[in-house]
Amino acid sequence: MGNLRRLLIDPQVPAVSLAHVDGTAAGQPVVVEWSDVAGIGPDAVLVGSGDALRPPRDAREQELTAGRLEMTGKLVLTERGDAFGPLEDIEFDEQSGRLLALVVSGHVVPVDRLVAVGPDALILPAS
Amino acid sequence: VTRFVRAAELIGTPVATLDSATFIGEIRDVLFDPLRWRFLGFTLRGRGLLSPPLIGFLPSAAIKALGRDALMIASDADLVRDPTDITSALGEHEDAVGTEVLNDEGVKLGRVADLVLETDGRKVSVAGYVIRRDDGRELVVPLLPDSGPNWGEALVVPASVEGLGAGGLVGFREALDRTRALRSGVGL
Repeated sequence: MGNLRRLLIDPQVPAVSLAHVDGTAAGQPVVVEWSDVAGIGPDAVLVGSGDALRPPRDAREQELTAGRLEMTGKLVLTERGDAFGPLEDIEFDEQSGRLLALVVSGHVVPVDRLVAVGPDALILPAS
Repeated sequence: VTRFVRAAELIGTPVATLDSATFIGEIRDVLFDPLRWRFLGFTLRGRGLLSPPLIGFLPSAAIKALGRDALMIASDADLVRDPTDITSALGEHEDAVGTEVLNDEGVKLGRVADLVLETDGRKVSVAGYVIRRDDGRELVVPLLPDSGPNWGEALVVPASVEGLGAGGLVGFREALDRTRALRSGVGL
């Protein structure tokens, strides 16, 4: 149906809440709620039905599909203004989408709360 | 635990908002009240080569954290962008760097090269200043809280500063403690 391109993190949980899917037959950017993802296999991500794919609804979802919320490479900061380095990857629970850790400069930083995720940085609590 | 930082080292530090994780600019200059040697805040410039040289004034009360890599504020709304308000804030600022320093015996010691700020990661205060001598050596002079020598055409300091200062930020804490113990209640 398409290719999973980017993930949107809801900093309030924090968890993956939405995925951008591109390369669909319609050619328009579409997204899928993470709760509609039925499974992740070695070669494909499965959704319950094609109805799960929908156009972006709001400005934030449009920013995601336009690539303006790309997380890789963003600076990971604490709320005290100390940097870990640029984000390399994330680890999350495939079932719930719950964010588990950030991979920064080759180190795995466990995460149970985020202060903010924005266009320039990911901000972690100080402790 | 506090740390000391030279004001010039803060220039270019990115300023990030805690509500949106956005870099709104970077530190352009450190503002202080020269009468009381009190830290007032920072002016900010935009980020990038073609960005505006001055985008606003950030009062000290707006600082949520001053870390080693970024200055954190609550939101973009904390930045004073109104040109009139910025001018008013800048009006209290005297450009200290470059001012000649004389001791009270009329001997030229050098010129003011920088300020030393003390921070606990949130509050910022002026803890000292740096004199650069003609031969390039530096003397980092500690201050008592909210007091210091008066600014004029030159900064006239007591002759004793040469014995109280440190050669750099290494050793400055000891110099500051020694000064404050010796001069409790008396401005240098």
